[in-house]
Amino acid sequence: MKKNSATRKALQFLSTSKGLALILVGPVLTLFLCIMFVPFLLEMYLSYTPWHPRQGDWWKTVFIGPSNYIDLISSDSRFLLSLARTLLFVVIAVGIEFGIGLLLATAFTRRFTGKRILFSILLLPMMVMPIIVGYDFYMIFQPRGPFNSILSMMVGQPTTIDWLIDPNLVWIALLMTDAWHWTPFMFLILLAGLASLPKNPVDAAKVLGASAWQIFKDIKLPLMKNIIVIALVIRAMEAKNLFDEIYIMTGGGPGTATETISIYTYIFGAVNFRVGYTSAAAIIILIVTVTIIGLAIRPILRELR
Amino acid sequence: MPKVVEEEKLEVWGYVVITVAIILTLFPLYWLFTTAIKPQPDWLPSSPVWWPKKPILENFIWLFVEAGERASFIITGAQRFEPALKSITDSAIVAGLGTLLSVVVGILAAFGISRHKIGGSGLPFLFLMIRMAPPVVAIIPLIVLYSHLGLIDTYLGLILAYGLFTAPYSIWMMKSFIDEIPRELEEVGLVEGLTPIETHFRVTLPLVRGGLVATALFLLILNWSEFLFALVLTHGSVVTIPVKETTYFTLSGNQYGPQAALGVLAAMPLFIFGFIIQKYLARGLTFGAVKR
Amino acid sequence: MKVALENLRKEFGKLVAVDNLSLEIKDKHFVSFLGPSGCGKTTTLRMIAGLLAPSSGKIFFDGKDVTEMTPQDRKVGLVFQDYAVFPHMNAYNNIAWGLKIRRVPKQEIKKKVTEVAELLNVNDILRTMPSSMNQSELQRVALARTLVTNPSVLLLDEPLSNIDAALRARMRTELKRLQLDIMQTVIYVTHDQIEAMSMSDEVAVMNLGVLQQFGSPDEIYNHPNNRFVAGFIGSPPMNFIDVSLEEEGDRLYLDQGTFRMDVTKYGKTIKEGASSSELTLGIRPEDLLIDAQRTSKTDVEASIFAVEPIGSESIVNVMAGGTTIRVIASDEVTAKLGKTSYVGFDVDKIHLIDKKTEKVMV
Repeated sequence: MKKNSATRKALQFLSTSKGLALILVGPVLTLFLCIMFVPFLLEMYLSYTPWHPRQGDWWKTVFIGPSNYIDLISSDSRFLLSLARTLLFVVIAVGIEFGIGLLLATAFTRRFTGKRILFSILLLPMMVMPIIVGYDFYMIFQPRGPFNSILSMMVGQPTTIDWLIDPNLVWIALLMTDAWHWTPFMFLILLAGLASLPKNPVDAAKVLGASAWQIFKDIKLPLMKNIIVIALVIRAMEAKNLFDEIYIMTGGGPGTATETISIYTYIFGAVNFRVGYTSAAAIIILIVTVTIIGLAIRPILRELR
Repeated sequence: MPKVVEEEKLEVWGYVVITVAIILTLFPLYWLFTTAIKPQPDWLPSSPVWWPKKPILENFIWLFVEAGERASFIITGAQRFEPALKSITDSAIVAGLGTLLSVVVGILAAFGISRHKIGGSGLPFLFLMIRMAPPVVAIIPLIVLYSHLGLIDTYLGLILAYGLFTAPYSIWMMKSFIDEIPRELEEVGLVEGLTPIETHFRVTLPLVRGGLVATALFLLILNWSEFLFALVLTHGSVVTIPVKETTYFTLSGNQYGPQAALGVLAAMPLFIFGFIIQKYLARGLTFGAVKR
Repeated sequence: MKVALENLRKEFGKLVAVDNLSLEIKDKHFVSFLGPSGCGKTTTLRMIAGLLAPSSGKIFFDGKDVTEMTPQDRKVGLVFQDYAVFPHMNAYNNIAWGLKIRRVPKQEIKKKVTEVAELLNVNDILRTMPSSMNQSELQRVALARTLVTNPSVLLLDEPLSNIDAALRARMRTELKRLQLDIMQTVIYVTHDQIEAMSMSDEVAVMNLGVLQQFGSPDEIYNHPNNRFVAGFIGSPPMNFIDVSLEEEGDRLYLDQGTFRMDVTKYGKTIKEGASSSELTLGIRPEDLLIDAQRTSKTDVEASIFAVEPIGSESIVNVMAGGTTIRVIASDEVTAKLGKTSYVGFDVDKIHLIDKKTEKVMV
């Protein structure tokens, strides 16, 4: 194949560091620019306006300064509550999933038959579409559904609790749903972490006379610190986004009992179309999220080196 | 599953924990499956039906049958629905091409970050940021932008969105796999006269084939299941499976049967993909902190 | 503490790592398990520690059957080849950990750790983290960690293989002195015969999972009981020459083709042990004599093809009768050698090995 001088020049350029940067990272950056960055600029702009599509073209709207932000932070209790709710949910859900995941992972470091197939089964929930999980558990938690039925059998008394309508109990149902869906993720990561621990220090600990618990506490857990942090941060990052299941199971209700930041933003931004106001809300959410995660993610970046 | 060679036998507590976990794991799946084969009266009766006395396949068939013919099936109130086939193909198109976009863009960037340290430590952080904000946050301006560009309710619109928002996973997983391959191999290629890009694609890429497939399948699972963007950015010309599912809950009655049937169908490929990529998941997702 | 192994066997699927191993280690003795890689010595050590369960056979500590006991209960001390120091704890905490988990009071821990640290000379690095320690320090910390729990038998898995050759000789003396200090039984696994021969009371030579010989270094060196031991022990290794047995009247000869040797004095032993007339003659390089002239009637003519100086002596590689033979000679003698020289055999020092059974008869 004859390379004419233009092609050759192009190939040469591609071998330089500038050229490489261009072609390797260029595409993703272009995509990022178009689909994320430009919209982000738009969002910043809109957050300083009261725009609603009803009002006409967005570039013709007025500039009202930071009043959206001020309103959100000082008087929109619904917004602030959604932030608080989301935070609380993330902490509890990730905590539960971590605990159960660790328990299962520890069990799986022992020898027993059928490990491989049991492992595959335990990973299944992670693979189910969130929307299906939502509908499935919606049915399960119905007043006359299987959950209550089994509960009745266990406590010996008929129960017809409407889990999704009672504001005090609805989070229990949602936590159970999220735990079912995502514990396998924690289990997978933690098991891989346990399996990759160096064997000799653990053996040395055994010979020194340590019980299984002592070995776990003093040797295994500390050596797994990095993996644990990574697992927690990754899971927390996704947990705060929770939308699908809540949308299906409660729609944010009863009232606003299950309104997380995703649901709030969806309602006000994509249903009521209070775009300007919700843009400000979105920016606040972004800042809060980035700050919290930025702090937590430093151990991960250290690991990357 | 990760190779664990332990001499110790499982203790009693382990058996209990695993048994309970298996039961709890399988129960909702069993419920989904049985709902898909239940006739209408069994969907929400006064006491739960654990196994339908007369299991039916009609829920599945109903998904594919034209609106007019549904009267012959014992499901009321939903004759006007479109068959589900379109949603399956729409999902396949959008998820498939979105994944393709993400993988292509991701591999390039992963090589850039892994082999050439392009962007230092700032760039990876930037990509992580894409996942940090809840997708809803990104959606709002996107709706406005898309309206302008006429991308609302189009395949392209969703494909672009899916491509970008799963790109961080693509990059981070591929980078982990690429990092596992020693750089020396590419250096040999350079000595042989290959350009840097050629060394990436002809030397290293074949060696991370497994990781590549795993990443692609993982993204496919994510995109296939994606709901929010599809919900907001489409209005009926493009219908993905999750959006289709919402149509089965109507004011005239919730069609649990077909909805579960479609769910079962939609879940099948995911179970298969998931099974295939099991051993790569932990390696790819933890920045290589977990070696094989 | 006495350690006894009875018919120990370990299989990994189809691979037999240790086959029918029986031996008895006396109290306070220093015993080495010596052999090439894969001979089963580390596997055996791990079984003694309890980290690996034997496929069959028994292990006894002071007469008590410990085969079913967990490593935690056996109270042995084990130092790994890579030391396995806990990477996330400093030296002090590493050493103290064995006591900490037994709920020994803090003050006592401090006392014991300082004692052992003194013994192993790690006092200055007690606060350092393993990542900043060199091999020698890591090894001493690993030893300290084990010793502080007062084990009744100390198991060492190739402790010197990660240490620079220069340091190794000194570490050997340190370890031997240590053993005298602590006065406990030591089982030492190594592939290095110098270590084994210089430090042990007894050596167990192993190959492919089978015990070849168990005895004092002197016995193993001078009276190997099979071809493997004869060829493995000794550096440079023993020379092996194929010969056939010939009877001439009432005299017995070894015939190599180029030379003959009168071995009538061993007549009885040979007749009993030989399964055929095909034998292998073994003789150590240091037991051969070489000279520029024929000094005795039985000398064999040989041509030199290589000389390796090793300090004040040299290894002279010659060809005689179609085989290569190595002879050790002083530099004086070597200097006088020409292209042709004469090699002399000392009949008292030969070993005769049956070609088929590989058992040594002399």
